[in-house]
Amino acid sequence: MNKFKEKLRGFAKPFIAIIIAFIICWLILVISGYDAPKAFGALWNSGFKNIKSFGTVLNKTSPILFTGIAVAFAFRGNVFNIGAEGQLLLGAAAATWVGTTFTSLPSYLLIPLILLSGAIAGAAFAYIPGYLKAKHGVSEVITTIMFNYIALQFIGFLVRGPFKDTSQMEPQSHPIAASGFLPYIIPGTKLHIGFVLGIVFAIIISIILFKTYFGYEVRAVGFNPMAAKTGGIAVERTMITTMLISGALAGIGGAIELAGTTHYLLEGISPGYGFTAIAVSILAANNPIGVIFSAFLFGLLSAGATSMQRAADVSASFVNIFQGVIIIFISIAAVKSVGHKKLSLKKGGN
Amino acid sequence: MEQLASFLAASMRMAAPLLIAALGLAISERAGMINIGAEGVMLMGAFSAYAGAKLIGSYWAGMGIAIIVSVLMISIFAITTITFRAEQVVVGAGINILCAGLSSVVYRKLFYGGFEGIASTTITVKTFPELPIPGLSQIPVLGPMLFNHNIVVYFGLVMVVVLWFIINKTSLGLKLIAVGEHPKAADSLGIDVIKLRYLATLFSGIMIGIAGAYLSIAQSNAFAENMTSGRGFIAMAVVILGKWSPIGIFAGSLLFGGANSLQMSIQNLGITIPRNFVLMIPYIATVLAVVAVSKNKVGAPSAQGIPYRKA
Amino acid sequence: MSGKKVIKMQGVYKYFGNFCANENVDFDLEEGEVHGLLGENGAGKSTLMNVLYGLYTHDQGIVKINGQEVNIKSPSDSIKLGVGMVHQHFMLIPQLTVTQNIFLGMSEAGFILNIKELEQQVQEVNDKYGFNVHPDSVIWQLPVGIQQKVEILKVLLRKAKILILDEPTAVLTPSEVEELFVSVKKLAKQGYSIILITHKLDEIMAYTDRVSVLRTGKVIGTVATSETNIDELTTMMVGRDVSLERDIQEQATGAVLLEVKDLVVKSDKDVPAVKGVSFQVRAGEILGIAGVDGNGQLELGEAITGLRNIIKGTISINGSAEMTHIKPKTMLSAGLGHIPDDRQRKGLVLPFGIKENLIMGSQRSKKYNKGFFVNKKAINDHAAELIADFDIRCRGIDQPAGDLSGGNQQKVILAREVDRNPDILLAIQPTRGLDIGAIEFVRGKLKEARANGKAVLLISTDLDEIRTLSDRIAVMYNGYFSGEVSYDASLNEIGMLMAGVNKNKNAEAWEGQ
Repeated sequence: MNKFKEKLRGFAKPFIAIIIAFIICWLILVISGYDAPKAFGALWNSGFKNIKSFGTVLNKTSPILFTGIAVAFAFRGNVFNIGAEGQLLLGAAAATWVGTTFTSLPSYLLIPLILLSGAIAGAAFAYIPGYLKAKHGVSEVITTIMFNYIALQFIGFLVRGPFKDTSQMEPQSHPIAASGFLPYIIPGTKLHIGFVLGIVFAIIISIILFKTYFGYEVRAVGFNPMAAKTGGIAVERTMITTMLISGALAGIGGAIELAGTTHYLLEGISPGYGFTAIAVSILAANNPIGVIFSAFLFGLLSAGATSMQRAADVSASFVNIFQGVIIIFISIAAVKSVGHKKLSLKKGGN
Repeated sequence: MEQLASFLAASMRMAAPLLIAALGLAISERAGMINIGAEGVMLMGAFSAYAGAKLIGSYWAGMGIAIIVSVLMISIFAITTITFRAEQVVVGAGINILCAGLSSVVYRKLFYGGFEGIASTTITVKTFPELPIPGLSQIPVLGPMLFNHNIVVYFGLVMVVVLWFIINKTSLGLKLIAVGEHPKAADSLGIDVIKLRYLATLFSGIMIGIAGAYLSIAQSNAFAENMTSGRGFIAMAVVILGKWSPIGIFAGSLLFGGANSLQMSIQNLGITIPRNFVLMIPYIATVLAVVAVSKNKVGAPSAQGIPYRKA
Repeated sequence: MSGKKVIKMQGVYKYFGNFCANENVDFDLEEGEVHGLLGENGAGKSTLMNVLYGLYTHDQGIVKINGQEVNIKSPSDSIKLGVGMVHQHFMLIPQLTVTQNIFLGMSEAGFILNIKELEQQVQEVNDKYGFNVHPDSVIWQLPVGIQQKVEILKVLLRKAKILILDEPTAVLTPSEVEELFVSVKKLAKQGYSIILITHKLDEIMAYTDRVSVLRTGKVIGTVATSETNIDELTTMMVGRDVSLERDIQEQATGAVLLEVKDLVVKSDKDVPAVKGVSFQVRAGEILGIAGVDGNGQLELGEAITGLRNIIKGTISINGSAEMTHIKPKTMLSAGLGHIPDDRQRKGLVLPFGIKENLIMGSQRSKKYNKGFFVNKKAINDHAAELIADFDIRCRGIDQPAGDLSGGNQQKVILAREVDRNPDILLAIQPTRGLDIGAIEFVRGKLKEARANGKAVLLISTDLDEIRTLSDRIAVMYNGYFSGEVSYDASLNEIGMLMAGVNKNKNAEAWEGQ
């Protein structure tokens, strides 16, 4: 009974936060002189009008799902990976290179290779902040944020330099080989297998976290690195591995966005999927299964943003306000009344 | 000599927003707060300064509005993290996203009627004029570097001295250090930990707001979406680099200002490094800086990021 | 003593949630007396004094100071009323100087600080009471004994007439204790009124005028010290007869299971904390390492467990080769059981359930895994078994460790470590902060380990504990062993060693460097 109540409370928090966020956003729209009912109506319609629009929502959900799991996994291990955006960009870049280089490979080889390259690139990019945190105690918050900017400039360089498709006005890469395109699940919609893959990964990560000794170690390090170290867990290695897995997930997110949706690399390939992931993860209480649902909410918002803009002239950046409000409210709700002190790993003598 | 002088002067101009924001952040970090939302607040500062200057027609009004708006935004951070004891990094990330959205939405509404896409013409505003200090600005090298700027830069320089004095020579400085190092001890001596943390955070809001305003109505004459491009985060790195002391922060911000103006010099000299790599310099420099100081953590307030709860 | 009541508390209640920490407490303090406040850990002594000092607000009852009913909301209120407190855990800012700490938060210091003049003021009070503290020293460089004097100076300079000393002797050597009470007596003679919180009966008998005994939040009684005795006080304090007396059978020792040679370890401040220490622990014996807190014991313990890098020297465990680079995991698998000094920081993952905490360190063992997955049933059964064996009071195997009382938290750690059946058991401050029942239990388990032929290394600053449990006692001072004595050595002898008198050659070699 008690357990059921606790569970119920767990579900209530995110719903209340979502409702509060809706109310605040509504008010902001009204105050800034927009037609709020029309805007939100357009948002709803964009998601549920027909199968095609629903497919678009799931299409937008897919990369968010990956970055969301990535961030949730890292947060569980007490690694604040704010760098999912950069890892996603690097994953997309690697996928572009593979997809435009090995063009003669058949789909069943090229697609896995594209996903793998995304994972490797994302993991490699996440490795540096992870290593610096574990071995030198450098806060991953600042380094991952800086790495986002570096990644963005790097993509800018690629699409203007080595990857540039000279037949296009805007800086962008050549499209990848058609055999590398992710197949659509429902014809006539933009829903590709990346979405299904995301759900599979959410389940796998959830199993790893809660049903294996490695997950036990990640969570122990996340809650109390000092006690984990005392208990014989290789804390530094666990932190780095956590970051590698998180980066790989975000990198795959970039690869599926590229191979499933845009098919070529451009600077604006991510409208901030890596930052949205923070809201997604927090809303889901860093639970990978919960991320599936919260990613869907943000996928809906992301898909609806364009419609809102068309119908009510509301800037697409409006979604950011919603995300910000959600993060702030959930972070208040997440504070435990029991004083679980945050404990840090104090190193000495070396 | 001339080149050096102009390089240093440019470095100072680039350093000013980092200096002002970092001084504010240092005070709030001294009190035990760690606010990655500085980036967003600075962006709101830049936007509201521009909007105020444009709509009221005075840069002073723009500055005033920037301060008010920034303090409002940072009070969201203060209330959630100090009173409700929410995780500071998470709230900071939320504030950044919120501010990015808010500044874009209102900017487009006010100046482009909600028009999406890149505006063809930028609406400019009148900016803070240069005010060379008679006599002092004639000193070779040092004159152009320190005494030939607009009033906002002077404000930053004066604040270095003022804050150094407050931290090292006053009872308020002692309290601030106590609250950041050992809040419980401070509480046991009748110091109001919560109040001091609020004050320090709101003060950092004022400073970050001024730094943001500098970007849109002093250094340049218009607002652009996401124009802070990481300066709020870099200011945090400057605080670490300067070891939480105003003098150190002054040096640290000059270093970054230098890196920035080097980046511009490279572009102007027509050296054929891809532009995107040049644009990476400040971010790479930031990473290198935090790695460099990680060896010696002395100076970081012990209670940083930890909410205080009275029994 | 004038008989004038400077403090009168009547019917004071203080709740934490549903827990009643102080129940209907009556307490009074006379001018010029030293009044002992005696009770076990958790009896409510500190809570009551924190109410008086304004760190907590009471829920019910009346507090009068100098005859006036008062409403103390914060320490600044109590400071104004002339109440000063010296906390058990020092409330000093390590980075600031003595003078800066003393004048922190004092409005008399003014906004702009005239440090020279303030240092002068500190010096005057210093001279008056013979404290011998340098006003311009930085706190973290001072030994704890001096830090405590800074705390007292802090209170005196705030013009307090009522002093609360919370467990003031916990970190002092016997001679420093002596010195402290000379000062306390001097203060009482000059009209200061002093409350001494302690659980040490000998201090109560030697230095107080009256004593009030607290048990489970209630005052059991207040008596004149001259009219009572230790036995009566013990019964009042505990409510039953307990014996923490030494009760250990002589037994033959076996092979050397832990050998430490010329160990050098650095502290967090990057200065040598352990300076060339060597010793052996044999099967079937308890080696106690005594010493005042901060003399390198903690660093020694952390080096043995692999938590701290060894700069020089070696450790050999269970017949292993001599190792310099060790990790916690190496030691655990070589047969070391470890009860760390700080159960909440090092011993437990507080948000984890009891069952998860009980497999920490063995989480990879075949016993708890089935192929790729954890073996839920094995983990649950294991937890249920240990909860029963070790009498861990809890709601169930999933209850977060953070919700348990200190004694039960320590039992979880003890259960986990003992269950692994290690050959060597290292216990650091194993009973700190526990109530007497839990202390008995923990000590019982250590004796049991010894009887079962384990090698036990006990590091504790509690001299009684060391003397009750050990076969041999090594005393650590300033990073080296100042001497080793048998368990029946006199308190005086051990006290001298704790104060660094009788340095051995080792130490001289170090200081010569």
